[in-house]
Amino acid sequence: MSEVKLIITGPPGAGKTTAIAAISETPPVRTDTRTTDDLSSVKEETTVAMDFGEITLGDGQKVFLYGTPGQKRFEFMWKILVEGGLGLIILLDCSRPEPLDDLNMYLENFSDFIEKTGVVVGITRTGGANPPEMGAFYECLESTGRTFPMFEVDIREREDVALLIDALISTLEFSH
Amino acid sequence: MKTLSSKGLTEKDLLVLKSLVDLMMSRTSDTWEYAESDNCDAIIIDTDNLKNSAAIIDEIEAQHAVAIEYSAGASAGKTRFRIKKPLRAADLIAVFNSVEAGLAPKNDAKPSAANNETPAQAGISSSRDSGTLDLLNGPESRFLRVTANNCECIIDLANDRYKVTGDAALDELLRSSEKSITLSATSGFQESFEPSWQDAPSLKWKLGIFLSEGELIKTLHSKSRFKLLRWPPSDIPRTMPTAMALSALLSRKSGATIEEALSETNVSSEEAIGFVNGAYLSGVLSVRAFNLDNHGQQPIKTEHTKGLFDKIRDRLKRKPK
Repeated sequence: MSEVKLIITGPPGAGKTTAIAAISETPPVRTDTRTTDDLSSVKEETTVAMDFGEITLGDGQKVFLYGTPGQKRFEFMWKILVEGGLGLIILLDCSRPEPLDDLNMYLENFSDFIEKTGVVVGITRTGGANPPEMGAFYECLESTGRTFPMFEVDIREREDVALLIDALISTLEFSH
Repeated sequence: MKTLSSKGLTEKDLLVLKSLVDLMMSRTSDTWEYAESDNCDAIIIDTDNLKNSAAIIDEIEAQHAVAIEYSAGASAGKTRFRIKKPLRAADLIAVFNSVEAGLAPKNDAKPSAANNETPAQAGISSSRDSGTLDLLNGPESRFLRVTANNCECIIDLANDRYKVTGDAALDELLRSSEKSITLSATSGFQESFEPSWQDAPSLKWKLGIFLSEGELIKTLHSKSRFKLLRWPPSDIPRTMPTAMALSALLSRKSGATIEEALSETNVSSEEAIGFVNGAYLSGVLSVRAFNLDNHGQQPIKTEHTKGLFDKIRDRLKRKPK
């Protein structure tokens, strides 16, 4: 059976590790280390290589979930991780200062992969003071020429992670 | 060709508006052009900048043009069409497509201003003269009252909000086969309601999905090609699981027809029509009047991937062991 691989990316703290923990049937493999840069005020540990989780399909086939490191300085890892991937989930943290810039950065860096596959965007932590409206996020996606799915989600909830994966595979099945 | 003008816009907003109108010609059903004239099909009014905006709107509507409110805050409720600041292409496209429908030849069955309450009992879809959604799509309709099983719900169409008395949830009322629906241009009956308004961004989606009864809104044509501009909020696929497949299909660069939706997915005709109506009422549907022979990219769907996607979906439905 061929390897089925879904990639989850997004800025540090957006919930990539949490998303994998919410949906994976095995405890996620993590490569976290103590933060030493500006992030240390936000989170104590951050992913430096990847997070890994898996779900087993009815016939025993595995779907692997890979979470990328969030910081741009690890972008060399992004290119390695997407190799052979089925599609991309971008998580955005609306409590960060410029979530629209974050989205544009990930769309640009993963543009080749998105063009070949598909993407779904999960918007998290929208309860802050002035989160951008969904329309603003959709405008960023318009640059791809396709209407990709975008949902507000609580990434701690398994159902919400499942919703993102379902939307991604629906896009791959019907919209590519 | 439709013409657009504006009143009260700042110099910057006017510049952005003109640029967007030029840029998005291919994204609207009809061609729009900005004109420095009062004699236009639609006029955007910056209600934040004009003190007498209500009088201006009345004047515009008296001339049978469409007034589009443009403001930063909550809707003043004076117009059916509204764009929230700042100006964004997607919002403008959505409003233009809705306005185009409003400019289509009027349905005689729509309520007149003099008789501004129109009963539309559930289960009358066989008579397409007065389908609920056709009435709802009319510029005169502002409020919808749904009653069933001793519960009552008032829906404020302009502001995507509702209030309910009784134990029933909104979805339950809209699904009820016993429901009675009344449309009104005025909010007169809302004063007797104690509950506070509840915002519901997916309200118009739900009206489309639950009230369509298998009939497209009259301004839509069953052979048209529909392109979804935005996916529905997450409560829609949770309410209607087939919304995922329909959203993906209609999100293709070329969009899709209802016939294609039925042949490429397992959704029923009623579901597909309800979904299209919901997207249209929500202002996120672009309509091309003619079906194109060459409609671009097709999905990569082999038996292998189809089986894989179904297996993943099946697994997502199950809780982890």
